[in-house]
Amino acid sequence: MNEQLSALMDSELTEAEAVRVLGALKNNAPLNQTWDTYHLLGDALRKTPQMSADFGAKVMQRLASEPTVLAPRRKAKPASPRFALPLAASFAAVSLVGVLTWQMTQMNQPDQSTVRLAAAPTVQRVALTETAATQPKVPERVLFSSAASRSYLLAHQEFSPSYSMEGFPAYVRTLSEQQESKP
Amino acid sequence: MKQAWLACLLGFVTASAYGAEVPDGAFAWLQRMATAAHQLNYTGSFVYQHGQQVETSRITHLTDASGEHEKLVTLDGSPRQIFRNNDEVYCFLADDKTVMVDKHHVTTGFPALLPQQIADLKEYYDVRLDGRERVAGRECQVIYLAPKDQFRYGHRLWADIQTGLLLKTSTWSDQKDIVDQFTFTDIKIGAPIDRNDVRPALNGKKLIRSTGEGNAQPLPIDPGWEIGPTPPGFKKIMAVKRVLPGASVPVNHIVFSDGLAAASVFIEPASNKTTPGLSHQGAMHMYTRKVADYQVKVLGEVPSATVMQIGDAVSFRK
Repeated sequence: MNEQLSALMDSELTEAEAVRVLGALKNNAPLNQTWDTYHLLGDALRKTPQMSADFGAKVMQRLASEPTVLAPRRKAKPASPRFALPLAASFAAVSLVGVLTWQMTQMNQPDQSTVRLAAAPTVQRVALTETAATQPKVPERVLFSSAASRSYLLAHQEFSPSYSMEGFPAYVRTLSEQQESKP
Repeated sequence: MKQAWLACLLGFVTASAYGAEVPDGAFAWLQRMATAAHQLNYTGSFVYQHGQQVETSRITHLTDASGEHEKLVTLDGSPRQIFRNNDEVYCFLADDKTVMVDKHHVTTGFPALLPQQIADLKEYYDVRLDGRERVAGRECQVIYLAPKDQFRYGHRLWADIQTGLLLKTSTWSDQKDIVDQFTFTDIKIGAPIDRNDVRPALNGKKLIRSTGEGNAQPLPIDPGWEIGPTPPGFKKIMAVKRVLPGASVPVNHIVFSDGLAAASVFIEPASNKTTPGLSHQGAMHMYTRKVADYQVKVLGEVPSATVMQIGDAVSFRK
């Protein structure tokens, strides 16, 4: 089911499959949590500034506490009961897509079609090529060895306002060392 | 008359409703943060992230009658530590045998933001409050500094509501990527700290001091060097000729700052170690080039465009 969820996030399911997964989501709390986690992972990979962890819960709480409007009902047309629910669902789906699209445009991703929510390696590669493409003038950047540059870093740190604002943690930039990363 | 009162009242209500968005509120927080970082006693652990790297460090800060004393120890990888005792900084190298000692010229640090700094910040950053979030179990005020051009990074700062101490900071590139970030995971503020905890153990260590230090007046830089035009907002805040620890020849050191970020220019005779090019680590960029027989090195927590423009603007006139 988790694979199906991920496929749903990437809009890779057929309509029938999507309906089935959405139905499962409705009644399955652990699955709902997985859904949240996938989105959180997607956010983390894209480095989207995060909302508080229980943002969704807060929205639901606010919704629940909103006053219920008691208004006289319009006369129900005979056909409406059959279509009301699917119609409401499709409106919900459209607004969800609207929200998602809006969130994506907020992220300043130049090519939205390449943003894949659940495919981590793809996102990483996209991010790298973007940086390369948008900075054509800059010569190749290598990682510097802070050990070799330490005396310069120390001398710089003394006059950098980052020390006045951040305090001593700013000196961690002087101490930091590249560690070999292994998978 | 009645209308006038009503208008006044309305104005007041509107002002207080939007009070959180008034930039001066954000600047008051920056002031508070700068003061807290240097005057409070605290000890805690924080995580420093840059690129794919994550490093954990422990920090202790003590201010007493004799001044400011602080210690920063890395907890991952090779053991490295750095101490500051007022104007002296002791950097213990990874071999654990050698200590680099740097005598700072500014004895008091910058306990508060100077009015000029605030004026500069307003010109080159949009500064605003951005809600509250929790860091290390404490409620924080978020302050956001959005750069107005590509020559500086954006900064998001989380200041402890109770004390004003900075508990988290993230630095953003114009591609909206985090370039580096540090976050306290636990912190004790105001607990008593033993002076011995922040005293460097120098026994049996080889000290690398800079020769010629101890001069009351730092020397002026060599005549003939010109730097300009620099990127907008980067003003010269300091120029001095000094000998760096472990070096034998003096270096001209000139610092440019926009009030928040700074770039240092180091000019010295070129050696066989001079390798021109651009390198970086997190928010720190370094750009090296040769001008005549000299090595020009520009270093700072600024984007690559900034170190390159400053470096390329260095010229020598006889």
